[in-house]
Amino acid sequence: MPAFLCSLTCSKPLMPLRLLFAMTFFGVVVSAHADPVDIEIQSRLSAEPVWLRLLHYERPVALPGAMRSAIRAGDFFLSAQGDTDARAELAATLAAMVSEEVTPDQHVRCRFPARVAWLEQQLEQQSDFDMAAHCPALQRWRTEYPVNSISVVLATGYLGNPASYYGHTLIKFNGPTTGSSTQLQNKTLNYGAIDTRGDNPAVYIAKAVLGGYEAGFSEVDFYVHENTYGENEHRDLWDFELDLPAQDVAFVTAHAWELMGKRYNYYFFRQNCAYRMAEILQLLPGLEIIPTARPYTIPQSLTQQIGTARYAGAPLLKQVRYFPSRQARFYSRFQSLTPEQRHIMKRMVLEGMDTQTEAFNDLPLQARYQLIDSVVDYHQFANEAPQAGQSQHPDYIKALAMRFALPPLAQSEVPHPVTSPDIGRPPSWVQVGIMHASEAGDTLSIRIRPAYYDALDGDGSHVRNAALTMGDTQLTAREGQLRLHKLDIVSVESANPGISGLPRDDGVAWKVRFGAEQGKVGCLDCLVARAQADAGMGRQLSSRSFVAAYLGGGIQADRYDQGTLFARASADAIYRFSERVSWKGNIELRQGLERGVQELLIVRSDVRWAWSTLVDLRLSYEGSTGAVDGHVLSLGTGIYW
Amino acid sequence: MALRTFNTLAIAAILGMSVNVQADSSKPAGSGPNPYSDCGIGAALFSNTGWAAVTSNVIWDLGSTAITSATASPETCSGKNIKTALFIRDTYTQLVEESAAGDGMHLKTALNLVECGEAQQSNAIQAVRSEMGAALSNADYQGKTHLEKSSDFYNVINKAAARHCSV
Repeated sequence: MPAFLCSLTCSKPLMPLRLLFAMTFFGVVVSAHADPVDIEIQSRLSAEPVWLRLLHYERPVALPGAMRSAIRAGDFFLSAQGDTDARAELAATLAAMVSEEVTPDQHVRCRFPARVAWLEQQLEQQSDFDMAAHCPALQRWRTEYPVNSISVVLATGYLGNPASYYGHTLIKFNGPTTGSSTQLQNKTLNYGAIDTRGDNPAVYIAKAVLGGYEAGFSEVDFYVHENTYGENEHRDLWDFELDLPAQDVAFVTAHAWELMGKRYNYYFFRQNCAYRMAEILQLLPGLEIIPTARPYTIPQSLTQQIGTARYAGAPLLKQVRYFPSRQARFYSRFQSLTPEQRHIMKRMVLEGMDTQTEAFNDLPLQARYQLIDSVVDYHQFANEAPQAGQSQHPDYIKALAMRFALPPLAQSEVPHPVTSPDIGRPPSWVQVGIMHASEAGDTLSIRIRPAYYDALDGDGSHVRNAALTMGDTQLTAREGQLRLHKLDIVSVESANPGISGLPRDDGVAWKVRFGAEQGKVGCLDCLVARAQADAGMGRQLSSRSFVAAYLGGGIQADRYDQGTLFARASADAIYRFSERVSWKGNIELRQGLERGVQELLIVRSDVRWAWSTLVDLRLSYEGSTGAVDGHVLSLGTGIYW
Repeated sequence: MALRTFNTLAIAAILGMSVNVQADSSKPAGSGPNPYSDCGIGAALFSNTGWAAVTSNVIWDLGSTAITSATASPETCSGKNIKTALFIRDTYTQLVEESAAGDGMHLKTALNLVECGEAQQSNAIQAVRSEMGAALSNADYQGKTHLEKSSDFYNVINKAAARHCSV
């Protein structure tokens, strides 16, 4: 009999029948020296939040009912009822802790080290179980990847994939920071749907929303994420390192081991990556960081929870690291060039690399570094397959060769954006205001936007000058009647800033919107369903100004003599007077495609003043002439939550 | 698409290992054997990002870890060498750019993976920089595949480590 079996002693001598049953059911052999745990203690422990969280118990998503584990029944449970009966699972775990299981890596202490550690702590037990002898896989994992601290990593949103609109969250296990070790060598825990192959976008979205995909955790080196997000998708990464005592780091890490290979149902809105990461950290007693203000979990809101939470008497957040994407590096370096240097760079890109020009050779050495690094960044940014070696532009290689020819000098650092996601505004917004409509008079306006940002209130964690809203609902209240004024089920505006104006950085922009809005500007009771899309080009003229022009069209319910189909040309202008005050103007010329439908000219103007991070004031105008003459003017105060 | 492509490549790589392992320890460090040719590492992982590619909410079922753990052969195809080879394959562009600059996080990581101590890294970086500078000036560089370039870099950094990082 292994020595460890004899060291487990408990407070009560009687073995409960339930425990006996569990042990018999699993074929567990129990040491004659192991004392059972009192059934009352078992009951108390099995109701402890930490135990329930170790088992991932939660209310069912689809239908109301009793708590059950989010993890599908299988090898995560030692009891046949473990996914629904936390006490049975506890009894089975206690029994397995004193079993004579000797198959390598199969003992409960190898498979569920966090559970065992917590139970032993609660029961004030100690074990001399030989982990090295019985748990080679766990020992190898621990030895190969020693963990000193834990970070939550946020990949900022990506408008190229609906599943990534709101960003992504990982847990990163940081190794020792001594010597030359780098962040790239750290391990991450990633949660997501497992196999989405073969599903078209519509099926993909439906299954992701309704829990149709199997999900699980994977363990991936951090460099893989840094590369995928930063180089391929041009998404910045934010690393929020937590200030946790060593024993808590070990506890969370041990639980991560328990979760490898386990299966969940994936739910895009609530039980998504951010939720599951927060859930793992919430194993720590008293730590509550799952965002609860709304029925869906936005990754950015988790970072804000982390930014304000305290643990063990100190702020939970220890430090924030920033991993800029290739795009961020390119824009930062390009914007640091003088007008003369930008001119030389544009010639190098458009006419080919030529270092023998007088203009280049007259530059100070420091400027030559900046210029070459900008050209290198540009070519990789513009490369659609940045990891495919053969597709590298010849001028990229020439630029690199030039860099090799100069004395070595580290590339310039990209400064952190002023606002990191944890200190940005919350993702949801409600606005109350007054509205004057030319046809209907004055009314009260109420607007609720569950998520996420528009062109005027995006910050460090959002795509600049872009917009992403879902469920944006505006109501009017007048004479005791509440009416739907506007509904954007989904509205996306993607705008590449085109800062350099170089090929492939020329500001491709597009918009898609589905919902309902007033068929006539100035009317409060003329709602029509409408789907619309536009494509165009945008350009960041300066750090404060952005303009874009579009061609597009839409399909709508045929009411108010405006037909079913329309085409349009439109233009946007955005100007930021300061970080607090910004303006967006839009002009649209719309032409119905059916015979007899008149053209329509619409002008819109929105001014936003950020009173604080949480409160803003907006003045909005919309006017139309042509087929319909009318206008709407509104003033409202918004609160972010 | 990318996930499917990668899975196919990963499986092919793992299967390929059974017939391709030709560890040859007689050659000097940095001149092979080389995991790219001898252990069947497939093409670039990040060659395509379709609309629902390997991204935020989709996990890697067969990630680099899968290849690493499946590689049980000693020496050339040892976990350490495969890990280094995969890292170079996946971050090649940053490695070359940082070699040109003479500093950088990816370059330090690669040197860590070949077990080059912190105190010796600056000399090793100089050696890598010198060799890679010459490699980029070669006319045939442009025509090489990503794997060929990665393989060359693997040799260069191992050679630099053997020369400058020996304890």
